[in-house]
Amino acid sequence: MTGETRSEAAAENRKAQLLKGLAELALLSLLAERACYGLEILDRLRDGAGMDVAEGTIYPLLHRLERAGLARAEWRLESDAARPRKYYAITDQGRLELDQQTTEWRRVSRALTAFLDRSEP
Amino acid sequence: MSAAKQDRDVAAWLRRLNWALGALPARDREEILAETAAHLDEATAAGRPAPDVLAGFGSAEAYARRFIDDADVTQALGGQRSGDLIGVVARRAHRSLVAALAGVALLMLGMAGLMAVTVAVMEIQDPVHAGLWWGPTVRFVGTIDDPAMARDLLGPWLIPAAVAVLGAAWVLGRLILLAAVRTLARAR
Repeated sequence: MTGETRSEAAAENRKAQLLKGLAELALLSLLAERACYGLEILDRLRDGAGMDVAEGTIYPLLHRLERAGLARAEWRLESDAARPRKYYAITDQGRLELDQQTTEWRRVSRALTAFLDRSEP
Repeated sequence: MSAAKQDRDVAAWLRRLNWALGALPARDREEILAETAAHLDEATAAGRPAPDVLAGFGSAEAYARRFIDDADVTQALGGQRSGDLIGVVARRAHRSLVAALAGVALLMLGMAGLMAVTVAVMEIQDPVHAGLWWGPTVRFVGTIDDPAMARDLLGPWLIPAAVAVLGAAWVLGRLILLAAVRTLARAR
């Protein structure tokens, strides 16, 4: 592995660690707009939020949200699809959780930004 | 790579996934398989190479383990039964420091509890020779051949002390179990 590749891998790893805890928040926010299926969620998280979440991460997370009562799922056969897709929608409990997580994220984000931007002594 | 070869690889990966999900109820397993197969189908139909999509899922075994771990932890925390919580810690001990440390602590508390029960039984069977013995040459909990060799520090309080140790071990064990499983749940 070259130095450049190693540094890219390290940057990816740092990004993955940072994004890990935020995937749930981004996912709930996405589902709050409308019901989505897995592949669509991945594409929208990648394109819209710049979160390169892997397939192997998103489905266990969706199932966890469903089990926790934050999302509900249903199979739908759309006219443009060859197979039925499993759509996930946010629940009332999920909206409440989204509000709480958003408030907390904004508070932490503001405090951390102010800290990182502080003038050096 | 030919389309036929890619199809074979996808089918083989799904077979391994089905096998690896064996610990889950059939309904959950079928649901995960159907959803994963639909994703693979749609992503490859959209032009993404099957090896890339499969790489996104990781190995079938690792992918299945995420669902199994999740179901395991959720069920244990939901019921809060000691057996389920111990099961989660035992199954993760080889791949989680938190679970391994909790396992060691539980083992030590279990031994303390077992010792307390043993001492209580000894005290009931032979109150003259059983005790917490403290003397110039001997210091131990158990039965002594010659009670004149040392002083029994607890006397009739041995059984209440054993019950207290057993209770403390149980309460502390529950707290450690719950804390460990909650930590594992947060780390998902």
